[in-house]
Amino acid sequence: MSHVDDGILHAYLDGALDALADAGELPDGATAADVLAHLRACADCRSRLEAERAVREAAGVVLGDASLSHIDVPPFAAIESRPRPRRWVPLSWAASILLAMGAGWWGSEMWRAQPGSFATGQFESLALPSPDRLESTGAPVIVPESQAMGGDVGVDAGELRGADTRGGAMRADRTVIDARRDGQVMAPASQAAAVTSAAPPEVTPASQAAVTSAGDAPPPVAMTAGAPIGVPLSFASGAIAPGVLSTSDSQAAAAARQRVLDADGGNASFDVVIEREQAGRVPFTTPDSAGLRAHIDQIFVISDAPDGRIEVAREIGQTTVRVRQTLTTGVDVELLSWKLVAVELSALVVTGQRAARTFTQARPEENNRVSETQSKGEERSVSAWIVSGPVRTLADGRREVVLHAAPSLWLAIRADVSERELQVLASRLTRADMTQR
Amino acid sequence: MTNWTEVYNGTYPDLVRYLHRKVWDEDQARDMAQEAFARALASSATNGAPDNPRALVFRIAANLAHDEARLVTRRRRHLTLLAAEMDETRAPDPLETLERESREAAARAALGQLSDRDRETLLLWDAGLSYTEIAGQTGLSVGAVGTTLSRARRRLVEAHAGLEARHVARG
Repeated sequence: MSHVDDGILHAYLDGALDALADAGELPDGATAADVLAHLRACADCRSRLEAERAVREAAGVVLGDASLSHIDVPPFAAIESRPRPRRWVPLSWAASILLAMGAGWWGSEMWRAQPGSFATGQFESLALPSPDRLESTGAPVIVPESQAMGGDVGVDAGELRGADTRGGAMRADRTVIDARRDGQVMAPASQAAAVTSAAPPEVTPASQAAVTSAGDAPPPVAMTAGAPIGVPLSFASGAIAPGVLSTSDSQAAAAARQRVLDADGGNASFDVVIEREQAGRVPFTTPDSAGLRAHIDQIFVISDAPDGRIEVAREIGQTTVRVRQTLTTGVDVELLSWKLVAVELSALVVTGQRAARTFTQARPEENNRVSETQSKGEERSVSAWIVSGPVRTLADGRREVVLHAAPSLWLAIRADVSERELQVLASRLTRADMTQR
Repeated sequence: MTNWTEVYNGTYPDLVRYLHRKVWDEDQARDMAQEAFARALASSATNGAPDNPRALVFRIAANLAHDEARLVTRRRRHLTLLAAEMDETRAPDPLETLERESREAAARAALGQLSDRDRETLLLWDAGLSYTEIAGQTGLSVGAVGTTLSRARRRLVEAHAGLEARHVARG
C-alpha cells in the first residue's frame, strides 16, 4: 500500500476509517485494517501522523476558545409547545405586491404633501422656535414620528422661516422632546386634523431674536427642512464586539480601570467635548462614504440596531463622531465618540493668537489588556471599554454613560432608557463595518 | 419511531455550539436551536420519521443560520433581552471575562479566515457529526471530508498563530 494522504490520516485520528472503507473511498480498495497495518510499518507516515495529530489538537484548542462554556438544555416540552412555523409561502407573493403598491402610493402622497419637499420647490432653511415660544403660542409642533423620535429634525416649514442655525437644530432635538412631553408633538396620524384646526403661530421679531441672538449661539449652518441629519448608513452585522469592563468590586478590575484613566488623563477633555457638542459648537459635517473610510478608522454602533446616521467633525488633533440609531424597539440611541489623533506638523497653521493645544497620546500600560492595538496602515481595534464614570441624566431626561478605551478614545452613549438598560447597551457596542445605503 | 426527547437532549448542546459559531450570539444560537427542533418536529409530523433525526436538525439549523446571515435586521427585539441579560446574581470577574472574550475573538477571527466549506465542515465535525453525516450535509464525498478537515484544521491553526503573532508584535 502506498503512503496515506493527510485526509486519511485525519480520518484515522477522527475514527472515521471505517466510514471511508464502507464508502469505498480508501485508495487501491484498501480496508481500514490495511491502513492501520501501513501506519504501523511506515515510519514516514507515522511521523506525519504525529504532526497531523498535533495540528488536530491545536485546532481543537482554538475551537474550544470559540465555544460556549456551559449550555443549559431547556425542557423538551418548551420545544413541543413552540408555535409551529406557518406556511405563508403561497400568500407571500401576493402580499409583496400589495405591499409594494401600497408603499408606492403612500410615498407619492407623502412626497406631494411635504411642504418642504423638492417637489414643491419650497426647500426652505429654517429657524427653530425656542421652548418659550412654544409655550407662549400653545400651538402644536407637527413632527413626523420618525423625526419625533430624535433621528431627524423637522418642523412645518411654512411656519418657521428665517435664520439658520445648527445650534438651533440641536436645540430643536430638545425642543421636540420637551414638546412631546408637553403633548405638543403629534404623530402623523393626527397631522391632518392638526393642520386644519391649529392656526400657525405668529413669527414675531422678538421670537426670532430669541433664537438668533442667543449668547452662545453657534455660527449659522445651513439646515434644510425635513433633511435628515447625517449620512445614512447600514451596519453589517457580525462585527467583533469589544468587551466592556464595568465597575466592579474586583480590585484587579478597579486597578486596571484606574490605570487606563490615569494614562489618558481621565475624562476632563471629553467633558469639554460633550459640553461643546451639547452647545452645538462641534462642527459636524456629513461626509460621503469615501470620506468616512478615508478619515475614520472605526465607528462604534449598538448591535441589533442595524441602521443609523452619522456625522463627523474633524478638528486639529481630534475627531468626533456622532451616530444616531434607533433600536428595533423604537428607542433612540446616540453615540458620541471622540478620538485624539496624531497631528502632522505640516497640517498645523500657527496663527500667533493663542498657543495651540497639543494632544499627546499616552502609552498604553504594559500588561494591560484594556488596550487599543494599532499599527500603521492596519485596522485599529478596541479590545475593551471601561466604564469611566457614573451614569448621569442629561437635561433632556436621557441617560448617558461614558466609556473609555486606551489610548485616547472616549465614547458616550445616550438613550432614554434605564441605567441598567444603558449598561447593557454598552455591552452591545460593536465596531461597525459600513455600507452606505 | 423517533424518540425526539432523546435526540433533543443529546443534540441540543452541540447544536447551540455549532450555531453560536455561525452567528456569534449566544441567545440567538439558543433560539435558533430550538427553532430547528421545532421545525424538525413539524417536518416529522408531516413527512414521517426521518432516517437520521440528528442530521435533519443540523440541516435545518444550517439553513436557519444561512437565512439569518442574509437578514439585515435581527428578529429578536433588543430591549426585551436586556432585563434577562442583567443577571445581578452572577458577577464574573471582569478581567476573566475580558480574557475569555479576547480568546474567543481570536478564535473567531481565525475561523473567519477559513473558506466557507472548510469552516462548515470543521464546525459540523466539532458539533459531533460523523463523516457520513457531514458528507450528506455538505455535498462532499466521505473521503473528501477527511481531506477538507485536514486542510481546515491546518489553516485554522496557522491563522490563529498569525493573529497571535501580530498581537504580540503590537504589544
